[in-house]
Parts: sequence; structure tokens; C-alpha cells
Amino acid sequence: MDQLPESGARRRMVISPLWMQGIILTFLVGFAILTFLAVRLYEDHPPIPDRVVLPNGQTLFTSEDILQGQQDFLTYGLMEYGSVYGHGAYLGPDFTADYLHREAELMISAAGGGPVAAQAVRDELRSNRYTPSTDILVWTPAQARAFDQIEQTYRTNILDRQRSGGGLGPNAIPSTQTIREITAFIAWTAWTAAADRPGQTYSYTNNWPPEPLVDNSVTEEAVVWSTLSIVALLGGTGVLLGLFGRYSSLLGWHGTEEKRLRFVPAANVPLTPGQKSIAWYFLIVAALFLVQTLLGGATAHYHVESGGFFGLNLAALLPYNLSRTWHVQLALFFVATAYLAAGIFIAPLVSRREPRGQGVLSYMLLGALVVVVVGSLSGEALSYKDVLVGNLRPIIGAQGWEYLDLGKVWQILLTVGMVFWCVILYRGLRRRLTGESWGNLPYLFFFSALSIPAFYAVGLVNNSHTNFAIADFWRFWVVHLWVEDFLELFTTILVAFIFVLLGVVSEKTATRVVYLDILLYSIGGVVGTMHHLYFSGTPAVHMALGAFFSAGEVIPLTFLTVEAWSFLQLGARQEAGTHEGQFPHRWAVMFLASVGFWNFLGAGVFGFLINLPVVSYYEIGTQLTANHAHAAMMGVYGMLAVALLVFCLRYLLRPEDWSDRWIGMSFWSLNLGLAWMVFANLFPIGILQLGDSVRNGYYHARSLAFFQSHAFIEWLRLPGDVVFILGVLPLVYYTVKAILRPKPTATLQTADGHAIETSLFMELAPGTTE
Amino acid sequence: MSRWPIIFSPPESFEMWVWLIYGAGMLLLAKVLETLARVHFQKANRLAEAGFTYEHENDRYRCPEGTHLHRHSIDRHSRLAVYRAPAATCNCCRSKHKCTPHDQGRHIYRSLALWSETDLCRFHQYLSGTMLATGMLLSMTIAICWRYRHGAGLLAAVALVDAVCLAVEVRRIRQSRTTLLAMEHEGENAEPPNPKTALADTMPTAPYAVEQTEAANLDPTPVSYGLSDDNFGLDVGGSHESSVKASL
Repeated sequence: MDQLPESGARRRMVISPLWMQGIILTFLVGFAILTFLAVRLYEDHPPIPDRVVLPNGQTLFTSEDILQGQQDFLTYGLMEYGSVYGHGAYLGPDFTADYLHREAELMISAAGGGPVAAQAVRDELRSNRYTPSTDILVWTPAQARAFDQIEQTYRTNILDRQRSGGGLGPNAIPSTQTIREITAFIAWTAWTAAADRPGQTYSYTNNWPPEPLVDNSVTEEAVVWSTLSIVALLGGTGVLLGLFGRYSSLLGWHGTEEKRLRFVPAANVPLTPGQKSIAWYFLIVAALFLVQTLLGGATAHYHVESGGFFGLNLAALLPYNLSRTWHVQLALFFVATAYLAAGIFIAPLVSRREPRGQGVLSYMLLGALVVVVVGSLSGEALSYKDVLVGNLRPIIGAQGWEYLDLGKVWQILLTVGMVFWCVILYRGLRRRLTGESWGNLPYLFFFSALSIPAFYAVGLVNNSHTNFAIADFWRFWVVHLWVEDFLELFTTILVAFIFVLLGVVSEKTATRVVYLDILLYSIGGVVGTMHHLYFSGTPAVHMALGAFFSAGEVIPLTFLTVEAWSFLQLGARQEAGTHEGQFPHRWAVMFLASVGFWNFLGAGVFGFLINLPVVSYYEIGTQLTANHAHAAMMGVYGMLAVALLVFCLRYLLRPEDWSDRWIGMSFWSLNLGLAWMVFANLFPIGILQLGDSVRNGYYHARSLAFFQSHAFIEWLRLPGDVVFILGVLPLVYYTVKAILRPKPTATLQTADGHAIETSLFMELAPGTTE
Repeated sequence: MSRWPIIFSPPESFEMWVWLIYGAGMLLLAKVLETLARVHFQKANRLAEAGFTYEHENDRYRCPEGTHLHRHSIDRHSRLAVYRAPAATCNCCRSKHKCTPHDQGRHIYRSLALWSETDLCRFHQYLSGTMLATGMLLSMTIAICWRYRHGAGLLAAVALVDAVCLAVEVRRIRQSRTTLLAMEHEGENAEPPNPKTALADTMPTAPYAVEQTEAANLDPTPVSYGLSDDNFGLDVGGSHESSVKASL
């Protein structure tokens, strides 16, 4: 690991180059399919008609109204309040389903009620009267009347209420014109959900949402592809089991002799200026994490008290949409900041040198991150609170796409910041990279770092006037591909690297595990992105391939998490075999072991639970989605961020300031709090919501009335949430301490920077059992 | 009319079915997850000896090339038993490059740490405790307050079973904690092993019973920790394992 190559020559790959060829091929095939799907989507997405007119030619609204309505819907944070096409937040209604149900009900009652009227309305809503050549959509007078009535309902009940309630403050959107445009946008989504796709017997949304009044039921495709993906899952599992049985010895982390190690006490590990700067990063990580959890508490509380917080009129100040936006954005920010910090911390350990100026660059990046965090969060508040006007709203305020809520300027700055981070990493790793094979860990580490800004930047394609189906496609490149694939990849490499640096595994072993991870995740994971897009206006082929590949994703995910579970336990084993206090990373490795557990349960089990089209059809946007999101996002990414924080903190703090007891308390609180949250609330209520959706229609399962009738389950999560929030406090305390009482340390200064002479461990003679 | 009282008749509503299955499911899931975690711990423990067969009756390993690794030493602090192959055999073995990086003969370090001693065990125990607690709490709340009477008795029964399992779980955690404290205490008071009289370099080939005597001689106060229901740390027969433990 530590030997550097002769000048001029590159080191060979430590494992067979076939691995690298394998992943290149996987990515090529995966992205070729994604490109094909992108082309298909651009050819065949729900049209936004130039004008929606009555049969007498009178214009109801135009495409400009719909798109402006979409922008307002987003920039007033309604996607963080309720959802369209099931995508967004879960307290407010799903506006698509809600509109469709109200529309059908109003039309049936206007037609006099009864089965004949119901049949007529069904036919009226299902028939597609859009003419592509003229770009005009004709609505019936009954549809137009329903539109006016629903607009009125939305105004008085949700968007321009007199008093706080339903999670929003009073007069959230005072402009009549804006509310009409927003309703036009929602009405358009409802039209795409009911009107048959040209030449097909199902709607643009593959008949989503389930709404008996318009005869929307699960499509043939959804059933067939769900069945086929189960077959693929079972078959694939069999094949993989066979392959594992035959070739698992090739994985290489079995059978070779363990090294005997003595770990260098954390106090004796010198730090470079760049590494010292990391203390500030982690202070920010811990502070953001604390705020994020507090906001989570407030957000969850709206489910039982829709107007406020224990009698306080919180909705006027911090309405649900804002608290939820911040909750989601801070989750990304605190996790990403921890990863960036860990990258900067590890680089000098990898290359054993740190070039001059890394510390300064690192502080500059930190400053930029603070500007983006503060700027984007304030921008979101100003946009939702109607302080910003016109096009400034999506530019410096909020774009409002769930997970990509931040204003365009902040999105660009964040991307630039991540590129800048890659530059810092490159400077740090350059000495090591010059002689390395392209396929070895240091390069993989760098390439995976590059993929972070690259895939985050895909989100820049969207603006608030992009057709929703297209925007959602690119949005999930960020939410799925960026988060679930490339961040996963980066962190796997980071953890593998940490294990190598700690001597827990050999470089060869770590490299194999990393390649296997990339290969197996990417086979299903790249095209599997489409499993988010079954019902938001994509053609049926997206559903077919998405279902098939993402069911395939479960096979490696299960195997890999099973492997990773053991792999991550290797660290913990190191602890078991050493004296009390001798292994410095007792809790860091425990956090990693918990990542293994949550990966299996949260990502694997809870993820697959909602993955099949036929399940997703009834489930999307219920608490089962939140269940998967919390168990996977916090359980895997959050715990990993905390593991990295604890790992680095061990070296940043003075030994006398370190307390295994308090960090341990944090470990138990975070894990048990999360488990409580999931098992006492999110999972059971999600199951009930799924049942309600099948029985009473999707709009009903998503109504506030549903939550209110199950308030006791919402209250049950309170103890878990409190325990969870308490678990963040020790992290804040120790990160503050790392700033106030930094460990006195200095590395050897050389002509071109700093040299690191010590390793994190020393090898002992074989047979030593000290 | 059912011959059962109405509260013990099967639930009529979907929601009651959900709760019934949920309460029971938590019970099952708690156990399954704990078992899975233990299996993974064993797997992680065994990785370094993959391909090697442990021969229980002789307390030695046999490597894929047929050489035996005899017990070389035991370290009570690290809770490790070290097995070693003759250096001369290894140094001319065709598989040496895949097996060991040095010339002193292949070593195997067998961890004697009990599953219950590890943080990992506690993590998964606490998790299953949390699951049982949530399952019990939900079932009990609904059995007591629910408007449906059908099945409420069944649900209460599930809650009771969850509660009993939770109590057993808590007792187990407390027991293993007490044992650990005793072991730590024992560790503090113990004299450091004398390298000359220790089992080091004796290459024992004698049957296991002799070993036990030697081991017992080494430690004047052999302690049995009474964790026989908890000895999941190793994949070998219980007698060997507990005897090595007794020698610690």
C-alpha cells in the first residue's frame, strides 16, 4: 500500500484488469439504455397544450398559465407540502389525485348522480380531446365548471386560508391570479392522469392514480412487469448464489493470513493544516445535523397538530413546507459536507504528503459551503414567504423540486464548490496518483470524487418551466443516480480506504470489494433509476425496464449488503481482539457496522417492498416511502457521515477530551431512535395507508383526515424522535471542543508542504497476540 | 355465532389484521435479525481461516495443502488462540504466496471472544429489544383502545408474548453485562501469563483432555462464565470452545 513506484513507471493494477473492463462495459450498457429512455421520453411525454378551450372556442387557460402555475407551485414550496404524481411531500394532498377525485365527483353530481352519470363522466374524462396539429385541448363545460369550483376550494382550504391549518400558515398565497395558475397546472396533471395516451387504453401516467371514478386501475404492463421482475429476482438470486458458491474464494478477502497490528494512539498521529481545517467542517456537520433533526421533529408534529406546535402558531412562522424543505436540504448538506471533509482528511494519509496551501484552500471551500447553505435556506424562506418576486424566485429563492429545492444560483455555486473540492483532492493525491495504475484505489477514489459534481450538475438541466415529466426524469438522475449510485460508490471506496489505512484489510482485498460493489450496484442501479418514474408521465417502457432492472438491483444489493455486513464487521472484530482502549475507533467502526444493518433493512428490505410497479401504484407517496427514505438515507448515509465524523474527531481531539462513553451514547440514541421511528410509526402507518389506498382510492389515503384518524400512531413516534435528537448533542459538544481545544500537533514541514511519516498502525511480528 | 368469545374471534377489519400480523411480525423479525447478525459475526470471524479445516479432536487446523497447524499459544488479554504451521513446510509450499507473507509459518488467530462480549451483539440485541417494545406497545394500545372488538383478545395475547420476549431479552442483556463486568474484573486481577510456562512453542499434539489440564495449570483460578447458551462466537463444537474459555 505504501510503497511508491519507481519514477516514470506506473504501478500495475493490484487485481486483474478484467474487473475494470467489466465495470466500463456495465456503465456503457447502462448509460446507453438510459440515453435510449431519455430519447423516448422527449419523443413521447404528456403534451402541454398551447390552449385549453371550451367547445365554443373560449380559452380557459394557456400553456403559459400551466407553466407559470408549475413555477408557482414549486417556488411556493407546494411540492414540499403535498405532491403531484405522488412525488413530493406527504402531509398535503397529492394534488393530481385530489383534483381528479374532486373533479369527477363534482361532474357526476352536476350530471344528476347515479350510474349513468358516473359512466358518462368516466368517458368524458378518459377521452383525449387534445389535437397535436393545432396544439389545442378541448374541455367540456362540466370540466370547466369543476375547475372553477376546485380553484375556489384550494383557495379557501389550503392556499389562502384565514387561519393556520393543514400545515400551512394564513394567507400563504394571497394572489388570486397565482392560485388560478397553480390550479391550471394541477388540472393539467390530473388531465394527464385520466386522458388515454393516444393509441393506448391507459393514461399518460400508466393509469395512476388509482381512482375508481374514472376507472383508473393498474395496467396490464404494471402487472406483467411486476411478475417478470419477481421472476428475474428469483432467477437472478439462483444464478448469483451459484456463482458465489463457485467463485467466492476469488473475492480475496478470505483465507489469507491476518496481520498483527498495534494501533498508533490517536494523540501521536500528527495532523497537516488541511486535516486540521476539518474540525470546522465537522462542527458545521454536527450543527446542521442538529437543526435538521429539530426540523424533522417539527415536520412530523404537523401530522398530529396541523396548525402548529403544542399550541404555538408555528405554521405562521415555519409552515410545514418550509420545515420539510429545510429538513430535506439539510439532510443532503450535512451528509455531503461530512463526505467532502472526510475526503480532505484522508487524502494526506493516502499520499503521505500535503502540498502547501491545502489548509487555506480547504477553509475557502468551507466558506463557500457556508454561503451556499445559508443563502439557499434563506432563499427558500424568502420565496415561500412571497418576499421575492418574478423570476428572482427560482433563481435566488427556491426552484422547489423536492431534493433540488435550492435556487439556481445556489445550485450552480454548490456544483462549483464540489468541483473546487475535486481540485483540492487532486492536489492532495497528485503525488500518489502520478505513479499509480488507473485501476487502483487512489484513482478510483479520485474518479468517484469527480462523479459527485458531475452527476449533481445534471440537475441544472431543469428549470421551473421544463415539462414535469422531463424534469422529473433528470431530477431522479440526481436523487437516485447521484445519491444511490455515485455517492454510494464514493463512500464505499472511502470506507475501504479507511480499512486499508487501519490495516484491517489488504489493499488487494479492498480493491476487489470496491470493484464488486461498483459492478453489482451498477448493473441494476443505473437503469433502475427508472423505478422512481413509473407514473409521472413516462412511456410504459420506462416502467418495464425500471421494474426489471431495479428488481435485479435487489439481488446484488442483498448479496453485497450481506458481504458488506461481514466486511463492516471486520472493523468491529478488530476491537474485540484488542485491549480495552487500544483500538482507537471503537465507535467509528460500530457506526459502520450499523450502516451494514440499515443498508440491509432500510435500503434492501424496505426498498424492495415498494419497488414493484403494482405495489408502487398504490403506495407511492405514502409513509412507506418515508419509511424507506428514513431507514436508508439516515440509516446508511447519515450513519456513514457520523462514522466519518467520529473517525476524524478521534485524531482532532486531545486524548483527555475524548469520551467513548458519550460517543457511545450518541451511537445508541441515533440507532435506537431511528429504529423506534421506523417500527413504531413509519412502517405500520405506511402499511395502513397502502391498505386504505387500495380500498378507498389513493386520494383518500393521502388526505389529512387519514392521519388525523391515526393520530395515536403519530404520537407513538415521539419517544424515538426525542431519543434520536438527544443523540446528536454529544456530536455537537465534541466538535465544538475540537475547535476550542484543538490537539497540539504539527507535521514535518518540507520544502513543498507537509510530510506524514507515521502510519495509523504498526505491524507486529507474526504470532504476537498482544 | 362463533363458539369463541368475540374478542378472540379472528379480526374482521383490515386494520386489526395488520396489527395482529405486525405484533407477531416484530417478534419474528427481532429474532431473525439477531440471528442474521450473529451469523455475520461468525462469518467475519471465520474469514481468515477460510479453506482451513478445524480438527476438533486434536485441536488443530488442517490447511488446504494438508499441513497441520497446532496450537501455539493463547493470549488471555486479546482473547486469541494462535495456531501455527511448521515454517519449513510453509516455506517450500506451492501456495505460500496466497497464504502467508512471511517465512515463519502460516498462523491462524482464532478469536475466543464470545458473541455476547461484543458491541455488535449488544447493538443487535438492543435493536431487537426496540422492535419488541414497539410491537408490544402498538398491539397493547390498540387492543385496549380499539373500537373493533373482533380480535382484540388475540392482539392482547400477541402483546403479552412480545412483552415476555422483551423481558427475556432485557434479562439476557443484563446477564451478559454482569458477566462481562466479572470478566473485566477477572482480567484486571489476573497475573500476566509467563511466557516460559505458557503453551507457547509446545506444539501440542496430545488429545484435548491433556490440553485442558495444561491450560488449567496455567491459570490457578479457572473461571466458568456460565455462558453456554451464548457461545456463538465460534463455529466449532461447544466442548472445545468452553474448555479453552475455561483455561482463560
